[in-house]
Amino acid sequence: MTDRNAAPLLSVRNLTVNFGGPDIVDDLSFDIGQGEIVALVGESGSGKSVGSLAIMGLLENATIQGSASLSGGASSGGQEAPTELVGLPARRLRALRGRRISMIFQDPLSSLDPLQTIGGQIREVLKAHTRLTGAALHSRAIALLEQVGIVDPEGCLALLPQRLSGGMRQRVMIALAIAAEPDLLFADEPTTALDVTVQAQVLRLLKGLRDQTGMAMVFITHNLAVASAIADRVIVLYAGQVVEDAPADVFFRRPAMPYSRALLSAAPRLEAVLAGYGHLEAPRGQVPSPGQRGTACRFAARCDDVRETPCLASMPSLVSIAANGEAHHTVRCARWEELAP
Amino acid sequence: MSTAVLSVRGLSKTYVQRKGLFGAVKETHAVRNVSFDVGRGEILGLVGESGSGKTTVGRMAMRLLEATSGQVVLSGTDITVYSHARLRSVRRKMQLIFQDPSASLNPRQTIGRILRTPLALRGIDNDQDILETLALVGMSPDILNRTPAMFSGGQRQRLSIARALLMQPELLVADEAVSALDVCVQAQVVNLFVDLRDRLGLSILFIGHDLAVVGVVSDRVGVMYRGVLVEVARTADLFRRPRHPYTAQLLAAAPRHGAPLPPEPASSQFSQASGGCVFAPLCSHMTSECLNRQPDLSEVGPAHQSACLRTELQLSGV
Ligand SMILES: Nc1ncnc2c1ncn2[C@@H]1O[C@H](COP(=O)(O)OP(=O)(O)OP(=O)(O)O)[C@@H](O)[C@H]1O
Ligand SMILES: Nc1ncnc2c1ncn2[C@@H]1O[C@H](COP(=O)(O)OP(=O)(O)OP(=O)(O)O)[C@@H](O)[C@H]1O
Ligand code: SF4
Ligand code: SF4
Ligand SMILES: [Mg+2]
Ligand SMILES: [Mg+2]
Repeated sequence: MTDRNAAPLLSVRNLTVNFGGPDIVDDLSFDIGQGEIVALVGESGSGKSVGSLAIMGLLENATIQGSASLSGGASSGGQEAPTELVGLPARRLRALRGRRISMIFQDPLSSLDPLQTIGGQIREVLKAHTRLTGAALHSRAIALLEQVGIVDPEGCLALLPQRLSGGMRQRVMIALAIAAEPDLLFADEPTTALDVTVQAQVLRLLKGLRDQTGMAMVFITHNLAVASAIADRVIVLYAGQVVEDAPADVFFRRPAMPYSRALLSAAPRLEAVLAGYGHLEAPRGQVPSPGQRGTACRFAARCDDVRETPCLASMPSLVSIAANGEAHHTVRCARWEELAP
Repeated sequence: MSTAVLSVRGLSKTYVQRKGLFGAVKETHAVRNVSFDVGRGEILGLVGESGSGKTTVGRMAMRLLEATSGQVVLSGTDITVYSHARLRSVRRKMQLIFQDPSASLNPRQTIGRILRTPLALRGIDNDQDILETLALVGMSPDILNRTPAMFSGGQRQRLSIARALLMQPELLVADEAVSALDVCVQAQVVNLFVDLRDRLGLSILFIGHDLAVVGVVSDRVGVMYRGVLVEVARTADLFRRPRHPYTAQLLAAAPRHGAPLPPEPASSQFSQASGGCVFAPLCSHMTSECLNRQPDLSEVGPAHQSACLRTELQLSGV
């Protein structure tokens, strides 16, 4: 499934994004393997959407530095030469979007055209990226809507977006994003508006697409149970930086960064419901805003394990903590070794 | 004399759409014959399929949307027949909190101005209540001159809750109010709702998708499917021992930490919608009897109601 020795599909190095003010995304580096599903988690405002939109070339008025290199994906048999996405002319980016990289946006309403029927929007995408016409085009549109669990696809094609419930809109968005079977899909909170049954159905669908077509995926979510269900690897962002990057099974068993642990203990769990414990562990304080991130560990003000040295002395760097032979695992905490369970 | 703050009885909503001027009429039964109570100081959770009518129920309960039939009783007063003029006097007692806090915070106004508006409606002209309410939602008092854009999503959600609280409501309808928040902020806001229930005796109709979140916050939970309220019970009872096959299917589909994706649920062979049980097409326990009519919501245990004919079923929960 995922071959760590093969060249990654997407390689992001030192990506930095600002809108004229302080850096929002700060020196972001990570790899996405061919066919790999990576969950990107982290506090609201940590730069998950901005980072993804920067890579997709969809940010306006932003200054973007660093590199995001996309190599040939499953669709080209991995033969194409890598393409540098940062700074790529808009015309070439447009040609890549949909076919090579695609995105499910966080806000389904703003990314659906309110004046065009669902059918019209799906046909447009299919015409742009496939050679389908006539009846074949129509049946592909129906099949896509069926795949995302829309009960009456024929009826849905005739509707305008405002007639759909929140969950149905999100499913239509997913159908549009996977229509051209991209090599890499950024899925920004794709299942938040869905009930758990449809959520499970969509997760199975996305995972199935990976298995069949080798599509890799960056799955942005706040829901750690969802991340656990779908991801091969988890990357945690905090205040614009990667603070932990670990194989999913390792992350859920022994997270190494105190912020990762705080995330996991704040997450609501079905088991806790049975205990009738009407309370969640909320870490105190909040994530520092861009411009107030300081020069120490950015989690220091909220960390129960903070020490003047080493935590406040300087910004911890992202270090590898994988023992010999273990899978890639990096963490940004000056005390990770002392704190290891 | 009931102690319910909100009581809805036989609430239904049918949308009628016509294709073209003389086209066929299509009816959507968004909500069908739904009845429940929200007691004083109680949080009633509402979960269910997307499109099952949760938002429609919440909006009808607040009379922001006219019901096709049924009654809405607020603290013993039937407000179903209230005119818009009379509604204004009771509207204050019910406040709606949306998923997107931006919808209720005007970006061009300062927080001070936003929070003073509800007070002005109550004829109050000092900031004492505002400062107390900000403390209650965990925000510092020195933010009155700032604008909403300067706050994070979670802070904005707390500000929209503060705004709603300044109306001194008896009932909050929270529709996906924490769905867009990250887990840390979600935990803060969930704790805030529970705290408001305990300290102010606030009643809340809490609509959500995430079963774990709804379960943690709610005293009782109702489950909707295709416009029908199929089960209501105390939270732990519902999660431990669901009595409706749809509830059991929902619980089985919920993702869990460190667990693989749940498998595709089994379904019956019956696929056509008719007059029978709404869940029949997907129910693996369906029998021919289920196709006759929609079962009523009826008592199956202490404070536990379910709308399934097969009350003998032993279904597994969490
Ligand atoms: N166009 C913009 N101009 C200026 N600042 C922006 C812009 N878009 C986003 N930001 C800021 O960038 C930061 C990161 O935002 P981003 O949307 O990437 O967060 P996120 O991690 O996706 O959060 P969430 O989980 O809430 O979606 C936030 O502080 C946000 O206010
Ligand atoms: N104005 C309308 N005209 C026609 N149908 C409508 C209208 N508004 C809502 N509906 C339909 O009513 C049903 C119930 O919608 P509602 O928004 O209450 O569902 P929900 O349970 O809140 O869903 P979600 O979980 O996705 O928010 C849906 O089938 C929806 O398509
Ligand atoms: S470096 Fe120090 S403050 Fe930062 S996460 Fe590690 S222990 Fe906490
Ligand atoms: S009444 Fe019949 S079809 Fe409906 S939920 Fe019960 S067993 Fe299933
Ligand atoms: Mg985002
Ligand atoms: Mg809704």
